[in-house]
Amino acid sequence: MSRDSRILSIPGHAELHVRTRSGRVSIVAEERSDVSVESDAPLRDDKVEVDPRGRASITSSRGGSGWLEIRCPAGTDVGVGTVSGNVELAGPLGAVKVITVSGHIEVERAETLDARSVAGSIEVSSCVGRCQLQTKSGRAICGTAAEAQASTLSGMIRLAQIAGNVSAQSVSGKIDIGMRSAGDVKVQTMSGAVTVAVPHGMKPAAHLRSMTTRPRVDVEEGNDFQIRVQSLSGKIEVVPS
Amino acid sequence: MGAPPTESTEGTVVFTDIVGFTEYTALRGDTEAIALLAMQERFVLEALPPRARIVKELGDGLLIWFEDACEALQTALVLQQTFERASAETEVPLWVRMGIHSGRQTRWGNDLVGHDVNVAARVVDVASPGEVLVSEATMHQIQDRLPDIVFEELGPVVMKGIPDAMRLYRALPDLS
Repeated sequence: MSRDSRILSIPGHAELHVRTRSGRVSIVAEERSDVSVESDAPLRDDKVEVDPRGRASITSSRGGSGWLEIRCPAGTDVGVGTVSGNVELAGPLGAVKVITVSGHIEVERAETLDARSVAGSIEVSSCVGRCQLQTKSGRAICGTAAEAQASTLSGMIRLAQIAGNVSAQSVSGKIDIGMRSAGDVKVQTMSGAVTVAVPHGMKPAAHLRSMTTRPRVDVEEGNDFQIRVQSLSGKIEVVPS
Repeated sequence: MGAPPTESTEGTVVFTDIVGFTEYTALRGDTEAIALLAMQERFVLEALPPRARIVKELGDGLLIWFEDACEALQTALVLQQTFERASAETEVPLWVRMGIHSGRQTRWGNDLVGHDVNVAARVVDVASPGEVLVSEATMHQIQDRLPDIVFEELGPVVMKGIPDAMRLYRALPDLS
């Protein structure tokens, strides 16, 4: 199969929308002013266009295990929709929205993020603003974010270094939350184990309710921020970070 | 026995889905699980406007039909507030997600079938617990008739079995 590529001129702030059924989608944000699109198959079969506002759209109807690699200006707002393709986003992106049915999602750095995968995992290194993750059976992992919201059925949630408010919900998946500074924490789970790590010297008000287990609080309580955890049967721990 | 009569209709379909119902049943047993279903259905029946109806129960979800898209969305948002309040007060996890899509449906006996019903079922698959998602077709019907509701566009959504990519929107009460 022959490779193909195209360069798109973008007037002003770039916005990129990619739709594909399957195959890997890789987007790299870097210092450049145009958008480069490279594919493992001829792009003549795909719809590639830029509107006058700088919105680039790439719609591919191909199936199979091909790939699409796109390089765009740093700060580009990105929307990606796939059924089964994995989505890899590298470099500093703007507002990012990704929805895939069974693909995995990896994001290096976004201003804001809304990522949803039904069966795949989501891994985010850094989100400057609000990070929203949703998966049914995959992992939902975020390294750092200003605020985070995550939900899963059976996958695990790990929100490692969150500066502000956090909300997490799971059915049976384990939930690990690490707070970097004061922000309210709200967690709901049926049977997942919950651990909230509190920064040194901070004194949270912990409201922990489990119907079957006795929650453990290993930090001094106060009123710096609220931690609310509701569980039917999972273990709950609030520990120093 | 003859096939049930069919009739084409236009309206808005809402799918609800209780998140984690299977696990809740395993943890708490059938009696409490049935009580959860009954709680959902009671709240829905109390909130439905006169011309709307529950078409059928789908295990832990409901298929609800509305004549008007605005009524469908307003009802869905009221229900989410009710579900959240009930979950907090009773510690029963009534975590419900909802998907809304407007179009043409075919009545088949008491059931409702067709492509637009299937699309609505796909929309709810993308929703998070506590969330209401609406399709672009529903947005067109609502236009600017609901100024108290804000809409956040999700990314392009390509769904299994649905040929074209769709735009979906998260609907939230405007608290500003």
